[in-house]
Amino acid sequence: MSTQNVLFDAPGPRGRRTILIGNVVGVVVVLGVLAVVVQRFADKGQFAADLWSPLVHADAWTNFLIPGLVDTLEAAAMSIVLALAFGLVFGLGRLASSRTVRWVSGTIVEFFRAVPVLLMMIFFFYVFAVYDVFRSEYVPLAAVVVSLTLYNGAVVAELVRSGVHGLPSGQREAALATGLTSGQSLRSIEVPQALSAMLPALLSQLVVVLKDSALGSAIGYTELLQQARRLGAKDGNILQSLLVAAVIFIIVNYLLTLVAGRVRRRRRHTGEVRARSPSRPPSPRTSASPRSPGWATAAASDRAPGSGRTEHDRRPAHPSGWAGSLSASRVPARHTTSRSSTAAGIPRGKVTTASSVEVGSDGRGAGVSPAWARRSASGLGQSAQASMSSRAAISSRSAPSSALIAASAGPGA
Amino acid sequence: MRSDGFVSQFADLFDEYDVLGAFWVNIQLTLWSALFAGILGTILALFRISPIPSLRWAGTAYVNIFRNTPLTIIMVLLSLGVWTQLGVQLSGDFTTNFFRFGVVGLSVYTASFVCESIRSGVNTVPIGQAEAARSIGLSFLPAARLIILPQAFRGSIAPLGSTLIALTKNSTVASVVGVSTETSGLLKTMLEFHSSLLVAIFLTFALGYVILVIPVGIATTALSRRLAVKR
Repeated sequence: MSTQNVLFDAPGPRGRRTILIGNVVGVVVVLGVLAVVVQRFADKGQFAADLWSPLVHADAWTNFLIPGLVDTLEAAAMSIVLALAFGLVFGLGRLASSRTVRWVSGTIVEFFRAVPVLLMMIFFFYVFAVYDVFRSEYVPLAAVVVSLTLYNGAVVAELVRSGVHGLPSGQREAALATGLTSGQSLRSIEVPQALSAMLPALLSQLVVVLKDSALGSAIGYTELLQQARRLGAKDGNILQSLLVAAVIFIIVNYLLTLVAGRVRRRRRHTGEVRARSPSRPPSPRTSASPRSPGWATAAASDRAPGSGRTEHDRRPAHPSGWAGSLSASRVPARHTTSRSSTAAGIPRGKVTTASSVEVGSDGRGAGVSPAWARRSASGLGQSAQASMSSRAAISSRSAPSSALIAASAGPGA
Repeated sequence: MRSDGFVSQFADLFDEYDVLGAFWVNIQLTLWSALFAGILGTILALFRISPIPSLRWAGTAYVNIFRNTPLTIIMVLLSLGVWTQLGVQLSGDFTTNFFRFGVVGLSVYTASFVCESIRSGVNTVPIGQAEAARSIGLSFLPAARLIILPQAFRGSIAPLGSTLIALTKNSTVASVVGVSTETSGLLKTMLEFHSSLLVAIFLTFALGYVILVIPVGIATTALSRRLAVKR
């Protein structure tokens, strides 16, 4: 209930009375809206028992709803697995040291993120049908899976990229110091960590996949929505059977959201440890402010002019990157490139010390920002998707800039 | 087919079909839905951040229901359930009726995302801001108007931008409710009758969406970066 505290003070007696009145009014309004809907249903005789009773018969479930749900889950499972593979390939492509590879993967990812999934499904449906790519009964499934793979794969690619950018730069520095090449470090050190950090976001993406698989009904894939329509057409109770299908979708997706939230909270604890271990020995400030953000040091040291690193790692590694990626991954992406140029040329030692001064001495740095920085560092995913991306916009901006301000003030002081 | 030449065939398509008109339908759907989803989403966000339990509960229930329902089901429910079975009509004219149902479907679905974007914007405001506002003697309305909401608004630009992008792409789903003149319906017709030009036709439509969507992304990113609150 943190939202409440920002806008509203703890209510006094008068406030409590207002809240009580508002509560009663609210209940009346909500009940009123429900009553209008129920009235409409009743007027049209939609509560008639013979419209609802087919839905509790075994036949409706064994022949329509359960096979439909199975097909939905099948398409979703295949799509998310393939999307993960696609995302890994192009996410790595966007991190590659070759400019051409980066550009090509970037174009492909941006393209598939911009094209509506429904258009892709229709297109692949005709392509597979005209060129006989699959046996005809598999054409709708193939079109659904390929379209969902391309779109969600592009989203996963962004997750991979921002996940890697979100890692403390010490991970890469240590890998390079032990003699790994830049590509080896990416493959065996950075991406595995980014992947485990991505898990909650991936689960949230599964919700998107499940919802989008319902688009398959437009090209005749026998998923849950399509089956519910058939069931409704058979018994003349389309409205009722669609409502049941909607409830099934809501339950499945809500459970997935809950699981994603749980994984995210669990990761927050483990993730915190990792994000907090900077690439250098602990300084006094670590004890002074136990929650001192790992990202501050990461962001600061990452702005060091490339010491034998490829261009892309000179972007500040703000952990918020992974957070924002899901819905607004454009935010961190464009941020970072413009930012690295401003940062270049500032001696590294200066920045790190300055930022630690900033974080240590300034109550703001130690008190406020770590709270949400930590959240955005380990928090990924759908329920918080929107909130994360906005935090990303702010934290990624504020963290380095406060370091910069401190850095420029440093030499004078 | 071959003798005709690829380019001239392709050019003929634009005479035969109104591709730009189809995109215009999608843009109209997007703008109207953005308007109504914006209003509804703001109201829901106010519900969810209000101290009144019943309204908070209603807002949360709405968001959980509509965010977890596929847009396609909402659209089918509107056309086959609400229109056919419940007999709700939004206009006497067939085309207008379907268009309005499309806007309704997109709006109720997108409103839940708008609500979450705005709420997340409020969440970015550190509590110290509210405490400082109160401590200098601002009462609820001035504190909200001068201190909290301006910062919250800035924080929600980026997620609102992604929501608008998603809405633009989702407007294609309006074909399910019966808006037959928009892009996905036209794409289907064109692919059906011109199987020799599948890729070219698809790329034309895809490019149209790239052109529509990318500037929105760039604009909201630039805006949110320029307005970002330095903390």
